[in-house]
Amino acid sequence: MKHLFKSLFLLTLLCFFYLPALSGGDNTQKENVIKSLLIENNNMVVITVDGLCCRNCGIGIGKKVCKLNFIDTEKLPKGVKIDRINGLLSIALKENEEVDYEAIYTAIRKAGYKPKALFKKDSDNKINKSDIVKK
Amino acid sequence: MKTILICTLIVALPNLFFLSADQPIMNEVPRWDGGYGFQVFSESRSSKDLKFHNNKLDNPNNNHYRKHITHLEGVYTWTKWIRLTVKIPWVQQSKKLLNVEESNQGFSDIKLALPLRHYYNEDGYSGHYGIVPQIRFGGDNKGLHKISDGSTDPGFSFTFEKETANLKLSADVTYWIETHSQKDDEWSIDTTLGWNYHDRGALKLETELVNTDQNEWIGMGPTFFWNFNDCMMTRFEYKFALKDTLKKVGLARGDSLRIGLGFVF
Repeated sequence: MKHLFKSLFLLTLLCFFYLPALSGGDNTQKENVIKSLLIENNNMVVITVDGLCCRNCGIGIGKKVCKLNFIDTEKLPKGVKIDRINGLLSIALKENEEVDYEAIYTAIRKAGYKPKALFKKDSDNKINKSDIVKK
Repeated sequence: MKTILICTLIVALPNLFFLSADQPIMNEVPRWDGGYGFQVFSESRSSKDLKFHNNKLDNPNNNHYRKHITHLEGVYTWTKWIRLTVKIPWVQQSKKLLNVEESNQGFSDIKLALPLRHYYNEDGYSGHYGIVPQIRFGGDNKGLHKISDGSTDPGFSFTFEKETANLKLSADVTYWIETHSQKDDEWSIDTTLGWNYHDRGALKLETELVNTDQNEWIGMGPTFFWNFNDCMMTRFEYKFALKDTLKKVGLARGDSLRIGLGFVF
């Protein structure tokens, strides 16, 4: 038993040197996921969020964003869904409500993360991307 | 075992410049502005091993100890870089050592900490490094087998954490400056290697090295974490004692089992 744990401990030490080198996701996969999310769902926007790789650490995003009055909390879990694998945040919006995107970005920042780009579908079903700049 | 200790120090020393986990609820939350929560942990330890240094001694008089600690811990996060934590342990113990047998209960040291963290968020990974100034207030020190030495001690920790979608790695180093005149300073090193196997769950391998004026203990074992509904979460951990050395004749610390339930808002 002790030998097993010694081996596991050495594995932990090895990871200390290896894990810091890990980074980044697969951008092609991410774009495909964004495309399919927006095509399949109306009144939805997708935001790429830097650092959003843990569903549990990111629950503050849901707690902050779902309080905004233009979020459709009937859809998705309380109007917000986290994809930790791709670092994506899907947000369901109420129909015919004016959307304050700056309020969404502020909520994400207050939850401890960095919103990077907004993806939404226009009336021609074309997907537009806009980079998010902190004002 | 010395090799493991040396390896630990080699790994931990660079992390002294970063710093320490084990503060917020279940080591995971709350990271958001205005987030707060509390958790209750039940910890059990017992041993019948009478030891001196690393040598197990004969124990014909059935010397033993059994300790049950209920930890109540709370956290408030102002913004993600600063939070306040409080840890209140309630101890129930029975101990027989060198023909002195006693059962008692009371508060162990109450700890207040102010974790200061710098988070970094990049494409595909996140993490933090930080420093945690803290203070522990002496608990009940009556009886023959005291629960606490009664002294108020300052301490600090350094923490480092990095996480990808699937893996998590964290380390923290804690140092307590003993103000009790007859005791040496304490230090500990914790490392965690975790696997986020599910959106709501994680399995971790945790290692803890504790050095007090009475013993040196290295525990290692699995930890299971589950988030039920973004408000309630649970954690189960078991640590096998890999090294359990005493600096004077006494009872070994033994394995430890912790089960907890946390709530966050």
